[in-house]
Amino acid sequence: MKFREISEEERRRYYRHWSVKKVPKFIIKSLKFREFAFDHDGSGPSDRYRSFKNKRKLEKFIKIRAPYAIYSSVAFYEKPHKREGWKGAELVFDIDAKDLPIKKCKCKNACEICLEQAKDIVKIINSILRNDFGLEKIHIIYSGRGYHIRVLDKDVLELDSEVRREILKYVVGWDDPGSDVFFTIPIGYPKVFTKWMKYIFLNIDENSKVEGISRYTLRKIRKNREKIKKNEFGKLRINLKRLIDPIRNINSKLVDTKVTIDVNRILRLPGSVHSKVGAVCTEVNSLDDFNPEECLI
Amino acid sequence: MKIFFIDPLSKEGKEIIRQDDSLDNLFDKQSIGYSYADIGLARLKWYFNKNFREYEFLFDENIAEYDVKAFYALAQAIAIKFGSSSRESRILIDSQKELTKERLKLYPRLEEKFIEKFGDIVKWTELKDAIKYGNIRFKDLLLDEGKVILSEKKFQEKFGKRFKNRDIGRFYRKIVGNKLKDIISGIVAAKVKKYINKVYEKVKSQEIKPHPNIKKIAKEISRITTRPSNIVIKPMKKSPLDPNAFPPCIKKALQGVKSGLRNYAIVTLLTPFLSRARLCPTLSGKRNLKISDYDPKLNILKNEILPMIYKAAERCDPPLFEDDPQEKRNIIAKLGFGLHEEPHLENEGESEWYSPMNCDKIQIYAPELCDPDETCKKVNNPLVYYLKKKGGD
Repeated sequence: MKFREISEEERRRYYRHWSVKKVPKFIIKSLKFREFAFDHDGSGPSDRYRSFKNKRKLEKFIKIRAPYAIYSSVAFYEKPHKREGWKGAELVFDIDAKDLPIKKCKCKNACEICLEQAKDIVKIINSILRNDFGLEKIHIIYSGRGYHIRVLDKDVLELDSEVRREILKYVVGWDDPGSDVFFTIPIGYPKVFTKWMKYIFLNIDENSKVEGISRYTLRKIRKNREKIKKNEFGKLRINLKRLIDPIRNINSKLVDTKVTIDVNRILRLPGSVHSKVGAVCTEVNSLDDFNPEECLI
Repeated sequence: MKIFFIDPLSKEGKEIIRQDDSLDNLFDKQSIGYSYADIGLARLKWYFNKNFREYEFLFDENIAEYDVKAFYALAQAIAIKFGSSSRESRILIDSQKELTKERLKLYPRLEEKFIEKFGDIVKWTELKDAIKYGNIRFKDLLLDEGKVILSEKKFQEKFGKRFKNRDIGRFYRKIVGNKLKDIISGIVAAKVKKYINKVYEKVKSQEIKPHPNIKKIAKEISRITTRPSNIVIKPMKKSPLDPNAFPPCIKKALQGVKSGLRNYAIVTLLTPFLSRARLCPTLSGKRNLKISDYDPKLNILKNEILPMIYKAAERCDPPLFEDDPQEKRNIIAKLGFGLHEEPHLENEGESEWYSPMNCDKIQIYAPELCDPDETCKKVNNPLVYYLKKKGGD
């Protein structure tokens, strides 16, 4: 999988025949309440406070300007062109393959290996949001270098940053499960934490540099991979209580926390192109069948 | 069972106030031997010294009706005199939380009663105020398909099969039961916070006028709450920076960080920290502090502090000012000199001199920087860390 920055000509070619139908319905439905932001030359989204009354106007603007990057707000405003009258915001989780705290590959950017890892993280978060929080309107977007999870259930739209932060801490297993036998409890937060512990154990190897986990323990984890897959944590003969803090530390870096708690954030518009990597930001309908390579330009 | 003994803002508690809303008798001794004011102030005194023997009457259910009125008087006095974000407001909320917990220990059936009224399985959104105000954490709740399971009966119904051949009661206690007192007191505390906010808003909009007795209680509250804090950090004078006393997050930021973290690490964290640690090493609650009060000619700022910040910015990958030159202005702004290239005395006051963010904010905004050591566990702000290490307490 080869990422590369696309030229202005390629960008213009992409947008020449671009249709607003590429933008998911959940955005189109609330189009007039969202702020749009544009990066015209790769220097950052400096053209902000844009709003569009309808999808045709948005399409026209994008086709003519062929921006380097296009963003829309996760928040809904009465006056999006002034960013005034905040009505609510999606609950968002941003998983960037480039910044994963443990990477099987050692690539500096993103590659198919870490994108696959990011996909596993998305699956775990998605299942916790559904099973524990009962959320249903969850959209998964491939951003070009990772994934965005965007939740639009009514229950979350009006939450403030504090509650979003607490949801985040639960969902990524940032809090202490508070027991040395948490992995024997098949429900609630202990189960969430165990899921992440399993993910980490299956993704680290003895060469990983993980603060608080010795090389000896890393070797032991690697040796016991089969037991870990079967959730036989009690048979590992590892003092798991001592690993709680190092695991929490990794968990805290699984997603970009700023994105989740910021209720005025802008995110790359699905359907637009991520010019720096030459991939189309795309809504994912089935994670298992999704291949990021198909989004390359 | 009097639910209002643990939750004065319950429907039943509100009913008591509806029936007797006079504030004229707040200082009159009642048949139980205490006035409403006595009970209210005793709540706070007990919270400070936890002397159960001296304030035994607070745990006698027979005072429940009086206690409700005392609570309302206290809450109103605090909202009116001190405001909703005051230390006094926090004290009332925390004291109610503690009282609720202690009373639940003495009257365990109130726990069932509360759940009966509140619901033994509720949507998590019902608890969002308690979460928002930090009284409950999601990790302490048993979440299942958007609901929070509180009672053993619901727990059995839902998970009976999963705990086959295991002592399900033991699991219920471990996962939910043992945390119920905290959950209930957290819910009550959030209601108190909301009530104080409501009264405060009403006073602000002049919807209500404070009764003289409420003012009198507020005065008494001041006497109780202005006791010196037991957390003592020796005040320090300005002195050269001691990098050995820097907390891990500052050490990391000084080494330079990667793109994505640069602006936060250099502008928001390092700039306020270094300037405060060097010039005004205290977490003063005072607003509108000015650098020139501590460094009148700005020599220390220009010759010591800014070079350190700029060097750290240079060490970032890529160097911060290379693709974000406007961040230099943001640094100057965070020092209180507005959005300018250089700090000039004539611009001072155009912006605020920032104080360092608390650790919980750093954890959220820049978890990569947060790598706590033993001292970190005892503090909540990088500057306090520095003061502790430097002061050697």
